Amino acid sequence: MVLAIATFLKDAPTEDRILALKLLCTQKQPALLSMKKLMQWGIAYKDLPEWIIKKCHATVGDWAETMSLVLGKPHVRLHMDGLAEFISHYHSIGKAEEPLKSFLHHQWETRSPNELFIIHKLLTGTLKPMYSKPQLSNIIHKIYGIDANLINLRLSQQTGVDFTFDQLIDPVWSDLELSTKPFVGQRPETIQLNLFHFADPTEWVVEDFIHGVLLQVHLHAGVVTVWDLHNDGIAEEWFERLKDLKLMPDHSVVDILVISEASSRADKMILIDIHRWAGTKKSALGSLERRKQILQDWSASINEPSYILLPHLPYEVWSQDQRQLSSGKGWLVKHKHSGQTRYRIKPPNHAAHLQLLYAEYLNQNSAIEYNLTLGARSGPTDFIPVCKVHSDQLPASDKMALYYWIQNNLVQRFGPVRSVRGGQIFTITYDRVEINNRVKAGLQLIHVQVIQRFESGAKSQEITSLENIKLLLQDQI
Amino acid sequence: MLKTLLINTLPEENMTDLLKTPALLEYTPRGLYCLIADVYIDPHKPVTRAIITHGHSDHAIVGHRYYLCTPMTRAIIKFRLGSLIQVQDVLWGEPVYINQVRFSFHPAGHIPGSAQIRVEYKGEIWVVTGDYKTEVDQVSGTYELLRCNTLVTETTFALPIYQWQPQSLIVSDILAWYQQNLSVGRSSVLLAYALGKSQRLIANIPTDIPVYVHGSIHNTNDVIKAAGLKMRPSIKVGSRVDKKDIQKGITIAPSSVLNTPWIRSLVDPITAYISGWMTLNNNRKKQPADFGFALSDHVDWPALNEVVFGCGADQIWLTHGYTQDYAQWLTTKGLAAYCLQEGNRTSTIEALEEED
Repeated sequence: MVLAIATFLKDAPTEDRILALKLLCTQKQPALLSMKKLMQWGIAYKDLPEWIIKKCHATVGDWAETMSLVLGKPHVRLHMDGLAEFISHYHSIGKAEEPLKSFLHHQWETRSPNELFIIHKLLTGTLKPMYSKPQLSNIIHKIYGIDANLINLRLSQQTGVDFTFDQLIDPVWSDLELSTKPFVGQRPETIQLNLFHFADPTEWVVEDFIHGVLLQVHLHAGVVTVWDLHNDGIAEEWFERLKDLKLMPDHSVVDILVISEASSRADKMILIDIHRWAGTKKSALGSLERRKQILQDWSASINEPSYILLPHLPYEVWSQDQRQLSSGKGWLVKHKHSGQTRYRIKPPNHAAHLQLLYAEYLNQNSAIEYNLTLGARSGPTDFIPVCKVHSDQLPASDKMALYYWIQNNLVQRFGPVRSVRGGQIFTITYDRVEINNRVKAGLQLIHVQVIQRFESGAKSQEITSLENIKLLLQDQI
Repeated sequence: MLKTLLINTLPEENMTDLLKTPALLEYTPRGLYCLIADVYIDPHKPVTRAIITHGHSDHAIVGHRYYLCTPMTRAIIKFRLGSLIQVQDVLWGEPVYINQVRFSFHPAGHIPGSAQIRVEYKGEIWVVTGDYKTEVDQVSGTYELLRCNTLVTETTFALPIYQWQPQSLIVSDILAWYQQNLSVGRSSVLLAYALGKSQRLIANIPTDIPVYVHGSIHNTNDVIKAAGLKMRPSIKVGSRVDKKDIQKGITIAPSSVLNTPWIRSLVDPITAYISGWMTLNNNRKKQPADFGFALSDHVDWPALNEVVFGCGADQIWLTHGYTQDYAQWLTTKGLAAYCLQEGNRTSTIEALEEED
């Protein structure tokens, strides 16, 4: 459907595009004619008995479609001429019967059934919207890359301003639109200080996913407007720095990620991507590399070293992506499963080899899904559980092999839990260690990801010892 | 026995005539029957002598002792029913006399080899259309309007909502759909009946677009080509054919391939069902393919009326589809119309009451 709408918007006359979009969502046309009258006129025009039309309706299930199939000219091609023109024409006729009847007769003589179907629906006011405004906004967002909220606002006509199709897909928020309430984000003037606290980099590891603030900056008619897209908060001090953005070409929209290090207070504005540059759409600017080059050139021209330029990082599996920030203190990551776009600076991983101790069935219907309890070495033969991981992180072949391994190395069953022999070793990575006195090991690993499963040959000496992990904990403290 | 059945089911005013002169054809539990010649037309149960209008399985069944049909239909039914059946073929218009009853075959335009059966006895003429259409395609021959006293016609699409678009328009729609799929790298698959519709599609696809076909269609094509019909080349989809090449062409397959490994083996397939039933939005939505194009091998409402009112018949027998509705329509137009009731094979002819 996205493709069909995209094709229509590409080919249709300019004035029809916006009208068709409005018809697709909510804008119902006033009825000029009742369906009963349409049927009576159609029967008289075609000289058919009423019972056969009713029989046709029983087969088709829709009066407008029935009448269009009976009255239409199947050999006529779609005219594709002005939907807007047609609607304005029939509105000018009004509800007077004779002109409306002669108008309809002309349509029946010249139109194909497909066109008549829409015409009958419009005239009788029975054209049902196929989409809600948010749905349609998302479709247009997919086609043109414009903020769906902005499209939704314009389609809703909350500003009371009528607009053309080109105005609809203009990514720049007008002043009037900015003044309207229901957007995500706040006006820059109203933002208070201290909504965002920049901690020391060593503290980054103890907070989840809140170490970057994504902003969208619009430059329109010399006015810089900053949108805090996820209400993360904008510090007052940033406004001075953001003023540099006035040097961007007019009619530009860019995404910026702000990160900061509390120790030096050296805020960094990371220009992530361009939505529009000097009025040129993102789609016309080319690839991400090309857009990055534009930002680099601009940054060099204003001689502002604090603007770090990074491509937008589309992380699929963040823990395994080795690209590192230029700061060298972590990686910029975008969380894969977060509903909102969340960024954080992720520290480098720590790795460990742990042994499988227990496997717990998660789902009786799927025997190959387990919660795996992994343990670290605490003596020559003893192991202590330190983390749990989901077997879903393993590739399918490993999951199946693990299933058979558990079957063959079962020691004891406790309900869904299987105690297994030693020998199944996993390499895992984790972000940090936390003290947890409720578990035997007295610590727990945070953000554990399984990297690989050893097929065979791993020796118990290779397994990471609990002492090593505790040393890391001491370093952190 | 037959006469008794007719008397019980026909309207009262027709009884006297039938008692005087028995009908040339009767509808029996086995199908249309000519008592004088002792031969059936498209019987649906095994009989001794069967005249076959065309090779579709609802018209040509296995089990008859002798078959009589056109040469093309002969090749088709030998392929479909087995080479051991005893078939005699007759050229177009060539008379065959069986006990003084003159039978002849005339083009019906439904599928390759499809025929109408003209039956003449002592100046009385009946025409059994079988399935037919009046629009000319490249493979099915040109329908011939025959004058007669009684017409036995199909009414599969006998409602005013069924008015076909010209074949050229539908084909151009299909080609536009194919081009769109090609531009996004998807394999276009047309789902059509292996005998008739597939050959019609193949003939209408421009020669610069490669056509790939399912094995069942490929085999049918071989039979039809061997029987003398010239067809453009098509390629059988098999393990030796590169699936990326298939992506660039149009594939034609029977609808039974949906949700099978055969269609899943193609590169990102997108399917369109080709049938007259696709005229209605509801049918297009309900069917399992992605799209639907309304291309039919049956006669539509305007053409059916042209045939019925143009053949000069004063009595019309109706079979398949909207028989009762069309009989009611003909009755309002002053023609005697009867439906051959096929739902339960026990009663024979059902008369229709006139519209109140």
